[in-house]
Amino acid sequence: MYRSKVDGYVGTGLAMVGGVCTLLVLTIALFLLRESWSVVQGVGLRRFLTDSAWNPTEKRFGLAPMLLASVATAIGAIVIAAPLGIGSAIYSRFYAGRQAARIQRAIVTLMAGIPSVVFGLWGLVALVPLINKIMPPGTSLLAAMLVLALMILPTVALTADAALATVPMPLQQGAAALGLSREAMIAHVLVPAARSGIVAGILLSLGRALGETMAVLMVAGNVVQVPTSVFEPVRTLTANVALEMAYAVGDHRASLFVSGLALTLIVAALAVASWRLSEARSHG
Amino acid sequence: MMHAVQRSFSERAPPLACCTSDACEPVCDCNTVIKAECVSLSYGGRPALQDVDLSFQRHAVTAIIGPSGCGKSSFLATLNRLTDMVPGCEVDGKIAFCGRDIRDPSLDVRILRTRVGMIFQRANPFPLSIRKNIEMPLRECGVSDRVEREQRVHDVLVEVGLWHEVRDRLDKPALGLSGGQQQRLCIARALALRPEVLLMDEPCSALDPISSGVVEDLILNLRGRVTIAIVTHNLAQARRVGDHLAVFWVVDGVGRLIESGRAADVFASPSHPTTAQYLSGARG
Repeated sequence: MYRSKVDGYVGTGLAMVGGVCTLLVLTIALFLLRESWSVVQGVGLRRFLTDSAWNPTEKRFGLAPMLLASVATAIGAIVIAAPLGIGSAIYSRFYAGRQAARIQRAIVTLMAGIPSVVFGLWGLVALVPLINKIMPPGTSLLAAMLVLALMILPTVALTADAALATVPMPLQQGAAALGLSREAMIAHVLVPAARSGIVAGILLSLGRALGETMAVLMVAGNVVQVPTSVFEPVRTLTANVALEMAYAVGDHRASLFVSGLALTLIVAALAVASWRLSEARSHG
Repeated sequence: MMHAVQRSFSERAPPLACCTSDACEPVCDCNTVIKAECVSLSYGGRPALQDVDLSFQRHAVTAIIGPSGCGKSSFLATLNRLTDMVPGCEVDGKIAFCGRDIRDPSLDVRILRTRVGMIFQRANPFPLSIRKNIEMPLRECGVSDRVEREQRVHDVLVEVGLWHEVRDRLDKPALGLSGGQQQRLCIARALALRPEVLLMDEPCSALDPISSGVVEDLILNLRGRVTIAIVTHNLAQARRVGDHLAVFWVVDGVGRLIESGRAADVFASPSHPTTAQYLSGARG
């Protein structure tokens, strides 16, 4: 095949850019592995899950409560945000007038741009005192779930909206031509047709919720424990790294890298699942 | 005066209802099932179709032919008010279905669409199982008896010749079927609602010759039981299936009906010179 000189340069340039991105991700993964390797070898991965407490300076490496807290806050957030986000997408696409839909989309997009520390501040001064009135101390698993839910809501809503927008018009016409009501059309035709896109968006949001650090750190209370109710304070893996990195040394430092590695693996798995769903969708 | 006449007319006709049981009556026994008078249509103020007068005879096949862009498909979509879904589309004139003005605000457009079914150029099965594709619209239009629904699913699949091809995979996704099978499923889905009229918008043009032949045979089988209006680009097909023929043409930039009548008569001795040239292959 004939390729012009310019085409060749552009191709090489883009290949280099792509290569740098791939290399960076690999480097970060390798770096995480290298930094955590000493403690993985010396202590063993098993003890990170089985040790009863987190006190690395005393050789106790129990990450399990924090892993649990991370997963619980993320799942709680998605359980709250998914119905809201999907509902908002369905509203703006099928019920709202053109003007209302435009305004709503603009606001949701704006919401996606609010820095997480602002969500944290709001949670701290508005949400935490409110929860404190119901059940002290206020900084809690519930507060973290709610703040996270707010943060990922725009991602859920915008991806669901985009997925619904790609449902082919003939499908809508077909549904209308059979005399289906708008509700039946949405429930039985349009949402099923957009399902894989919606689920991909939810997985993406779940990844975002797992990785969020600042807002959660500000409202979760950061006590290392397995909570018995949503009103108890918890510490997530991300918050743990942020809180302790500044002074950690030796095995302590390495075990923080282990938690970083664990998070990366979970989020990567979610990203792959999300990607495969989108692939499945575009292929049929 | 005109209003008073219309009202007494629609009072005589019982209200339109979905066919929810085996004992459902035909909507009427008049010979002219659909009567369009002076129908004009415009998109965003731009006229696309002007002054169409066309009647559809009970249980006959009316083939609508003409070059692209002459408003054939748009006209078809006015007959079940699918044009309502197109923003900026305005329809003028009078369309009566079994004596009822289909644009009467008291008429439920959803019921109209169960009695005037539609098949599209591209098969548009829902992303559901084969069975659900037929069953869901039945349930939504009020066929609450499960046994009745099962029976209708079986009957229409037999009718379109799909039963022996899909009986073992009724609960598999409809999107796994071939193009021709999908189109027959869409016809089955429409027939399950027991429509008086089936509007077919180039139902074979996206199919291979063999599948196209199967669908054409199906149309011939339905003749005598369902009133069919079929838009086609294929003159030979119009000749094979059509009892009546309607020829649309673009005159001064607007689609018009230039000739209609019994298919045999129009093919044998077209009265409009453009029709003669079109049918002989000299134009279009």
